[in-house]
Amino acid sequence: MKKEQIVDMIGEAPDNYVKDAKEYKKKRRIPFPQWSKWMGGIAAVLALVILVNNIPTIPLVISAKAVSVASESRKTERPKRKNGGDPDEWRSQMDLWYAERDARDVLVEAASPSIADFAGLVSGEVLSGVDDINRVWSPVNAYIALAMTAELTGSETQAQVLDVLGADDAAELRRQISAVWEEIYENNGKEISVLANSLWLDKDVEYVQEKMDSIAYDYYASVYQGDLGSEKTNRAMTNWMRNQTGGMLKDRTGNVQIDPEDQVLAIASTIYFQSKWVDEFDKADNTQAIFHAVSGDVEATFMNKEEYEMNYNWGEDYGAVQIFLENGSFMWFILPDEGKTVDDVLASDEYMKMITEVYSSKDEERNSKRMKVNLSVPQFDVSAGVNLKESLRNIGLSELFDPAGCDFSPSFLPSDDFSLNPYVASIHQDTRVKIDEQGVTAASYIEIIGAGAAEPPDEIIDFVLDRPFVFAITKRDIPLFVGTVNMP
Amino acid sequence: MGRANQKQTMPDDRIVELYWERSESAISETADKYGDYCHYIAYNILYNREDAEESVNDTWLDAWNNMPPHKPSILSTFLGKITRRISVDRWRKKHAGKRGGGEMDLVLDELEDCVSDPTDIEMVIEQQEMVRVIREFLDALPATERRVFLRRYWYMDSVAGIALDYDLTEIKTASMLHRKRKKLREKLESEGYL
Repeated sequence: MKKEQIVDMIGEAPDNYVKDAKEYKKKRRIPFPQWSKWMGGIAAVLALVILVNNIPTIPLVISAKAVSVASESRKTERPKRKNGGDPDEWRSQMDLWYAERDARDVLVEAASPSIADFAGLVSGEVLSGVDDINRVWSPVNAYIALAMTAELTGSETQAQVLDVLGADDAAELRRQISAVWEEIYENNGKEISVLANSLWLDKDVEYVQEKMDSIAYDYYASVYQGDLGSEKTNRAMTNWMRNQTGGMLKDRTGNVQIDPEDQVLAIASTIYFQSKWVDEFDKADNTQAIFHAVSGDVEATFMNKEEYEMNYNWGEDYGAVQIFLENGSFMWFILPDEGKTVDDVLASDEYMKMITEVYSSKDEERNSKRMKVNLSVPQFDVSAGVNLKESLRNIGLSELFDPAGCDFSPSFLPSDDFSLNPYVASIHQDTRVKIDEQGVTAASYIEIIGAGAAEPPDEIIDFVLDRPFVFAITKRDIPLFVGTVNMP
Repeated sequence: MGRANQKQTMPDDRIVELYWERSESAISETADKYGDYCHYIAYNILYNREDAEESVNDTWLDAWNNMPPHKPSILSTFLGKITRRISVDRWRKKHAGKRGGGEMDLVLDELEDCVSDPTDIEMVIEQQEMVRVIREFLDALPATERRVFLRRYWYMDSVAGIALDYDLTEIKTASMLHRKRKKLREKLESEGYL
């Protein structure tokens, strides 16, 4: 052993001893500190890591009566520290900001397990399939849209929705949804993450204004009224969705078609998300390689990182890595073990716990290890439309879809015309997630029409996503998107 | 009284959150709170103001790159360890084969006591083993001796400075350190690393 190694070994002394040794001594004078020079260095460091995105702008033109207009984000902006400003004043502003944030955190943490349970249950339903079809959906988007129906309904209909959402009562759910919405909301130029909701009423529906205002305030949803099913209103809905999803779902939302017959209520809910990798992939490192799809081998463009230090996670049937996005969101790549399929992963709630308990669990409780990984990810642009009605029926939601039993009486005045009694005819969600060397763009819209595992080795591992895999995007333990790539 | 002059700093868990939220304020808050601490470690090792400043700046970048995924429970030591590693590496690059003054040369001279004869076959110790051996060694020391040992060989403080802080004579401090080095050598021998 050399003396240099002894220096290194002493460097590994336990943290508590190192801290104690320093704190025990009297205050010591620091030789020649030069703060201004340090700050110059810090600014330079930040310039390297902060990247800017811009949301595509599409003009919003709605040719329908606005019953109640969605609240904007009420989240206090994080106080900015100004050069030369009073640091104590800034810190007291930060204290207030933290108090608000802490109160929101409590609600988000309370909501997170229910959203994760819902996401796990429904993901199994909508994403399963050992074939060549890519599938993707947005759990949080669907959860919020369903929560709006809980707000609008009563009696057994509401009880069933609350049960499926894992919520104790509508008032608590309402508070949690507001907090989740605010938690996800980000549109600061660095990252865009916007959930938008809208409720569309047929022109003949008589509504309870107070309820509509609550939808606008608590669910950040705009309420519109028009001739549902008419070309004009379909176009207005199309416009709204395209506006909210940055034009990313242009092909899919380009033709909202609501059947004019018996349609009295529609809920449209979108999520638009755009972010950059903290460490971008280098295009020069891309390779053309084989992806082993179920039906046979295909060529795909793979993005690569060599000996990239990252968290390797493992479960009974899979290995997984998480890539950091700006502002603390994560993208997860979950690769089924050899001989296992994406269905094996989706059948258990283990992967969902892994992606939704990052903040609530301790490092040592997780099957996770910091490793050097040779990462190879195929570029993909996955879009899928799913009708959630059947999946939701399968997990116990039936009243909402029953024309005879559905109870929207708290929100809409009874009508002599039976055909005007609302029920949910379908819940459709379209989602698109696209990744490239710079980052992720993803959008989703949901339209509800009222009518075994061993610890990995210590060395460098290869993590090559060259066969069907599961991916997810999470923010503060909330699953924004979950999907499968069976054919990149 | 006195509170108005006291520098208000952000709690550690808040600073760690800033890193996790990729907030620009993370580094300025860290510099405000731990700039002195990290500079003191870097300067003790490098004995050069500009080199120390560079090490401290590199520490912020390293911290930014490591949070997330890390959520250090003791932020000061987390940062201090980065500074120490970076500074030692910098010292080695700069002083390969020559002496550069400062405590690092003296510390290395002293640590000769703990190592094998140059003619012996060198035993390689894995990092995980290092962690275990040093923890067991420090666990077995009385608190004051442990603190003195770490102040000298972790923080690279001068013997005179340690003696002053602990109200010891320099001779007594040096003798205490000599005994501990001997003890560490015995530990390494018993483990088969020497």
